[in-house]
Amino acid sequence: MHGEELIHIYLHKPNDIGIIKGCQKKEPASQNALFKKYAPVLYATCYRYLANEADAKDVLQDSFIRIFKYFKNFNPEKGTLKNWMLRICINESLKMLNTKKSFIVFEKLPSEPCEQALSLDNLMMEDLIQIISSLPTPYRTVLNLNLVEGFSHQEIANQLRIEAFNSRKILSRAKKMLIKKYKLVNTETWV
Amino acid sequence: MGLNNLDKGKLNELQNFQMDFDQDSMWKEIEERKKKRSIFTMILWGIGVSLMLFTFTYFISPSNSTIKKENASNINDYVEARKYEDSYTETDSNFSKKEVENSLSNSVDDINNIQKTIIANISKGFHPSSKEKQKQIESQINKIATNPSTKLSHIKSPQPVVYGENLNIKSNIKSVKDKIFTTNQYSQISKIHSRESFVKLDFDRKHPILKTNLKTFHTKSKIFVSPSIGIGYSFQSFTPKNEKTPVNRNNFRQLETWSAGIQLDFKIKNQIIVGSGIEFLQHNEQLNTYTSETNNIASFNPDEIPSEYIGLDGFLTIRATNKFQNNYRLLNVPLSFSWLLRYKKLNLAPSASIIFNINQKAKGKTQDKSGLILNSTPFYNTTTGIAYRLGSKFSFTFNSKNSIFVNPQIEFGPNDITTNLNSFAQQRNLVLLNIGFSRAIK
Repeated sequence: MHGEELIHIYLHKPNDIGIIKGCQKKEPASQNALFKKYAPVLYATCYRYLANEADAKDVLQDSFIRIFKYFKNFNPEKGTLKNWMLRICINESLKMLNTKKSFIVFEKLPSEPCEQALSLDNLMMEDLIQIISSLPTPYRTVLNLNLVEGFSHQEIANQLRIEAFNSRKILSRAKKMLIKKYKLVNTETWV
Repeated sequence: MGLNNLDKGKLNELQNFQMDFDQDSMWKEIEERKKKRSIFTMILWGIGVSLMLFTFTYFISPSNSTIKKENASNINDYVEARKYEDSYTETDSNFSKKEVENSLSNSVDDINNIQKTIIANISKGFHPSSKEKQKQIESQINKIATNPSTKLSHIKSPQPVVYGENLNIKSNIKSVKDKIFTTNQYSQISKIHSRESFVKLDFDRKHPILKTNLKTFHTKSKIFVSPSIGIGYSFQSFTPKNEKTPVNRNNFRQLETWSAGIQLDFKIKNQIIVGSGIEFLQHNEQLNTYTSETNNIASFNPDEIPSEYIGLDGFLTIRATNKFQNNYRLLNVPLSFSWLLRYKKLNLAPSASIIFNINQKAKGKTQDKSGLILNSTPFYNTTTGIAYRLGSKFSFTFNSKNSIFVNPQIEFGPNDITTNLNSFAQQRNLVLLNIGFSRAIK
């Protein structure tokens, strides 16, 4: 996965060690500290997948219940705390998408294409997340898993129970849709 | 752009992007859920431990084969008793076996009284050694047996009930007590009781080998424990509030219902059983929602749209289907009244129950009148009130204390299980099939 350097920073903080030990003992204060520290990041991740505030909150809540319940299974030697929690959130988000069984063929996009071309380099993070959220569910899911989380197409295929070539195809279509709709520039290597 | 098409810095920024939301309210909800979860876990542990204890006590209790072995010396009694049983139906044609069996338990007190008298007499040193005395006693018994109005309490000391061939009264009282009813006595006393009751019960207690013939009768047991699981199907009706006629809401599709529970039954009379316990019930439901939107074809990449979706006017109608899995979890305390009918090993017990709901949790989505999809929890009461069930428990008794049962039931739910927020009054009726195991514990 990408961004491991940044993730490791959290593990090296002495605060985290105390939180981990406290959570392993199921101390409410440590659980609260863990929640306050990581909830905004995890919420943003859930939102990227679900594109819906209510669903993202539901999934975040379920994820934290699961995190507290199975905290004894977390092994700090195998990976970072944030990584482990992110994985739980992503799994819960995918589970929610699967539960809803949304098979929206085409989702509504803004009626007119953007007039001005957008550059990926200059985009604000909020805008980028909104752009990703505007994609249909399968496109958004594959784009998130591949581009942001860094899963290979085979891994995505295993998770979503589809063929690897379908994952590639969906990603390609997602990119095309974004480029066409938002006139994204500086995306030469996308297509 | 490197790193798989996204700039590394931008990727890190995206991965660590934080979005604000109301953390305090969510933390409160999480804490509430943790508490509820721990209570639920405790209940499950309680049920699990109860089942384990129950299973444990069941397996360590002496089996029939052990009892048989201990009483192997009574085989002659058994044979003679069987002869008596065979002759009984022929000679006492005025009473059907079923009638006699039904009156069986009424004689328990009388038998106990007789037994007390016998023991008292033995302890006083009564010994029917004289043949004349025996004849005298026999004639008394016959006199009593042929007179329906004779009460057992009229039998006065010295009494013939220690009448027996090999009875050694000089041995200690305990061994005498064990042999107090020999076959002949049994036969005689049975004759006395044949006009008002049937006297096998206490004999059976003293001679467990005969239980093979009597195992259908739990007349001595007063308390039973019955764990059970069930599966069923619920029927819901939706009536707009302030209206009386239900409407069709086909987008709510009912799925299976399942239950698990444990109940204690108390036999308060010979055939009347009152029971109560706790029951967990879950109704599963699927909500299908359909939305359609019309969009200008220009909004999409033409490569993405199959031609059959494009209308002649150049507009695209999009139909979206969402399926939500809802569930309703209920914690009930049933209070049941059963009327026990017996047919040898197979028993039938019609029952009526009042179901007190102590908690209901609705989880999932609901759709209001305007079509909005909303979280369903606030739209349902946390307790649904009282429901009523009618059923018939069919049980198969496989030894003197244990039986398995199947209990089909129909539940009539309360008129409305929703809060004021819901625009529809919702009634839920249920067909449930419980299967379980019953064990006499006292």
